[in-house]
Amino acid sequence: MPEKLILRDWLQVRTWLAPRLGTVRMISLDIFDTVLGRYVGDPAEVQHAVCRAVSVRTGIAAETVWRARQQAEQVLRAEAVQAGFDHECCYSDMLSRWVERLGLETDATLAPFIRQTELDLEAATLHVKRDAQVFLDWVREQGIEIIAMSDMYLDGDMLCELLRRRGIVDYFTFVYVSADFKLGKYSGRLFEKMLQVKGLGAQQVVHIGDNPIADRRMACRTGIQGIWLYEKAELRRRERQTLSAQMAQRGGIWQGRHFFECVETRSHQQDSLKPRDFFFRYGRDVLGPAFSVFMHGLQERLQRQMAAGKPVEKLLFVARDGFLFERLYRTTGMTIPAEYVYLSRRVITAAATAEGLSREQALVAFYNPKQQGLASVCKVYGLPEAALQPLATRHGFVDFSAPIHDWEDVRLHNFLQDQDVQAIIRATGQQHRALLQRYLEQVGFFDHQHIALVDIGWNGTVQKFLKQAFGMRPDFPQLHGYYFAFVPKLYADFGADNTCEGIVHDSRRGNACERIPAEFEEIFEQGARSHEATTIAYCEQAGRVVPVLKADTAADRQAEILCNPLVAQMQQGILHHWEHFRAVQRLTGYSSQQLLPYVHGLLERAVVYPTTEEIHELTQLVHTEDFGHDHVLALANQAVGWGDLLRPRRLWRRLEVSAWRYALFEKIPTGMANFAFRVAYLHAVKK
Amino acid sequence: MVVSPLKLFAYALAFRFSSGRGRCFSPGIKAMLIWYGTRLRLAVLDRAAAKWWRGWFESV
Repeated sequence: MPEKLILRDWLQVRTWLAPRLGTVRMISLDIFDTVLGRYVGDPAEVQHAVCRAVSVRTGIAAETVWRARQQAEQVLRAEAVQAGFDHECCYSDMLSRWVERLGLETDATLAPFIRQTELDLEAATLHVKRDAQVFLDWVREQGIEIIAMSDMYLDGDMLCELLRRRGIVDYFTFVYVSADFKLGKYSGRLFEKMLQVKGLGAQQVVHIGDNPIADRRMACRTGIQGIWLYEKAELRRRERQTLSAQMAQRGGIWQGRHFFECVETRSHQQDSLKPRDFFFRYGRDVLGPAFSVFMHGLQERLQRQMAAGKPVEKLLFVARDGFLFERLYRTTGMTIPAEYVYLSRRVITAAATAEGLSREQALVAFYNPKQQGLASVCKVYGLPEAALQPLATRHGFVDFSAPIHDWEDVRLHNFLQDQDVQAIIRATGQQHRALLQRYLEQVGFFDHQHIALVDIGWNGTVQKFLKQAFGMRPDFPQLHGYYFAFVPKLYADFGADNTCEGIVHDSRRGNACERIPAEFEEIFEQGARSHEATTIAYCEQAGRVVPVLKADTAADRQAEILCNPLVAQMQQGILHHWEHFRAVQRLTGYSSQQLLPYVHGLLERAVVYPTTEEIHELTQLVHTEDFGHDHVLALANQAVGWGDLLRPRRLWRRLEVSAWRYALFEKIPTGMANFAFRVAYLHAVKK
Repeated sequence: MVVSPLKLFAYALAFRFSSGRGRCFSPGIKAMLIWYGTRLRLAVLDRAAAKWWRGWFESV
């Protein structure tokens, strides 16, 4: 009679087995939850996901598809019992009955589609448990045959395919699946069948599995040494996942929490042994969720446009922060042509001065806290300082680089009214505009009716000025701006056929909770930016218009180059997250709207309540902007000490001009200061 | 990547104290209590351990 064996891990199994190798001829292994683990708590989630895919393809409601599947399965199981077998059914039989029930048996491509989808989704939820793989290697080294035994509705060949996709099919000489024989392990009959087929004595076989009844008790009853693999941590993890899935039914943040828990489990299973540095982890755990949900929202909107009969014909990812989004888009398999375009606020605004410079346009240069008056205007609009400087003195400007704080300054008004000034501006603007126009023609901007611009945000300057500069052309397309965050502080009117939307944050929605990206814009720009310099102009080369990038010798560019390796690490982390995000999304079917509340909470944690490590590492990054200035913005200034609390007004001013205000409280423990400041700040800002 | 419901609840309080609106990423007090209650029940009852003892007391 076999021993009663309950072992807690694969090492214990190996220790028990090692001295008995002489008498054991074959090892039989349960597959699911023994050799292969799942990223999701409930395997039925795969079946639901398949039903959703069938629903999308056929137009039949997912609930109806699910019911048809359940009915087909129940009938087959009942038939098997009537025929004297166990309560089993196999996928191939079920599939044909299921398609019949849906009334779609004439569609010859549907059954292969369903089968393929089921396999793809099932494979995406599975991973080989690390200790199990080590055990398989050890058994193979001992020259002992291994077979797979599974109570499963998938056919044997489908299970083999899953094992092949997970890279372990070669360990097994044969796969016994209850669906093939209509006999289960839980009745002991599958064990008997296996012994009969293999022609072995029961005492020569050891079976290992995670089910105390099917894998131990029933194996032992047939004389096979059954081992119950009792992995407590794994059982608790599955319990937690099941609870998460149940809570997700409540909506709100719970869906996002369930989703990202699955993503984390999936990522952890594949990556936990690799040492990852801080920036990779920050990209994976903080920026990854935010950018992934943005990309998911973008895909949904593109599909919606297509369904509405107004498909976007081309996607333009705007330099430099559209760089990462373009890389993420390439992995989606969407077929809309996409291109990374070298546009910057600098080249767009320069072209917009072809008809002269208005006061409104000039004021844009003064939004920068480090503005240098007319010198900043020249930098922002690419105007010749040398030609304008003598004209400025005519109107009382002694120092061309002196900041202008009074936006009603009479000197500025007179300067802009001066026809000589406007003539110089127009001539330069027309040159800029002609080159930009040729560049846009080159990238096919005017060849389509519907174009989407994708960028990080914030004011939609590029979109606004494109319309302003070329909106009069009859072939100017209908523009859709999709932004990570859209905060139109500078301009309100974008003109007809020119729509903008912030996917993660749109200030027009008036939801204070979602405005968190605007609290620390710089980190999102850093995470998404290209390693190349900003575009400052265009020039002609061999008959083509090519972008002129800022020189690597510029002080801000030098600082940026030093940070490029850190940004690259962050982007690798984001790409890593995106890979797992897509797999879990396909399985769970959550929309971006369902995930957003949790992502806002996640970003609130990262921006308002950063850890000490986050503050130290992220403040190494330097931030530059593409509005013509050469300044570098420090992400955090000197931390706030207890003494600073005695001078609240001065402290408030310091906090107001800081790029990352909440990082200044790093010396005050517990996060209470961050919380108090958050409350005060939310009171103060316009909601 | 996974933030505890209690933390999210606390973060959302800042909105409640300022604008009176904090539902966006608050888990909701009732749902949060259910969550922690169920976690506590799972920890105390420990079904995994009960399963183990059941296996241990089996005759075969």
